Amino acid sequence: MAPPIAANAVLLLITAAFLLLLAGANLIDVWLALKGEAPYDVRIITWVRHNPVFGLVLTLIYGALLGHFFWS
Amino acid sequence: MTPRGRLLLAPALVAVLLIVLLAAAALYLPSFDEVAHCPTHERPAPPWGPVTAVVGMVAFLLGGLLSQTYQLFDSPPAPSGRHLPVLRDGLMWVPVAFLAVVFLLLLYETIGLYDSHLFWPITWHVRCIARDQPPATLAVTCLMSLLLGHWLWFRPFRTD
Repeated sequence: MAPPIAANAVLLLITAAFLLLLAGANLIDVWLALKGEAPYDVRIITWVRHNPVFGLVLTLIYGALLGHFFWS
Repeated sequence: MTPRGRLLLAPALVAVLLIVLLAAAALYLPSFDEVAHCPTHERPAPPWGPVTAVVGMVAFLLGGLLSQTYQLFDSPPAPSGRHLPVLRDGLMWVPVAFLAVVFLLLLYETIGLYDSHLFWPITWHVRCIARDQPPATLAVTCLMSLLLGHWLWFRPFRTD
């Protein structure tokens, strides 16, 4: 089935949104490292330690997406 | 290596990786014709589909185990206090924005699955790229899984 609207534009938008958010977080991470403060991973890991159920839910969503996309 | 250099190493490596990924996407995606490449929207042909899913799960576990190793053997102290500032500094709004984008994408996916004449579901885009570029899809899935495993692996607070 042909894409109803510009499918390439949607694909580009999705890819750009993910990569730009990661790039933004990465820039902040570099800034934090230059200041000698705790990087993002330490902050996120600490947050997951405080909220394990939320971390579990995110893990389950990610696993479900992996299976949905690729498992045949 | 100085403590500041050690803190800079990981984000610097990720920055290089992101530049490569952005350049690859900018070069490849604009000329990608989904209609020509994806007459159907099936999952990637075996063994690539199941292999990608399984390797992604293994990479998630590996990311978690690597972070455990980091906690055990690296000299920076693990964040163990319940008073470490997490949301107060405002920087955690970036992950919140990331989750908001994920929510919007899942909303888009729901609308697309309900009526694919209106939008192509994201699933179809992902499967199309996975069918067309299986090794690259496997590599990106591994990287994302490693990162998520590193972040989401649960470590209980020390009781000592």
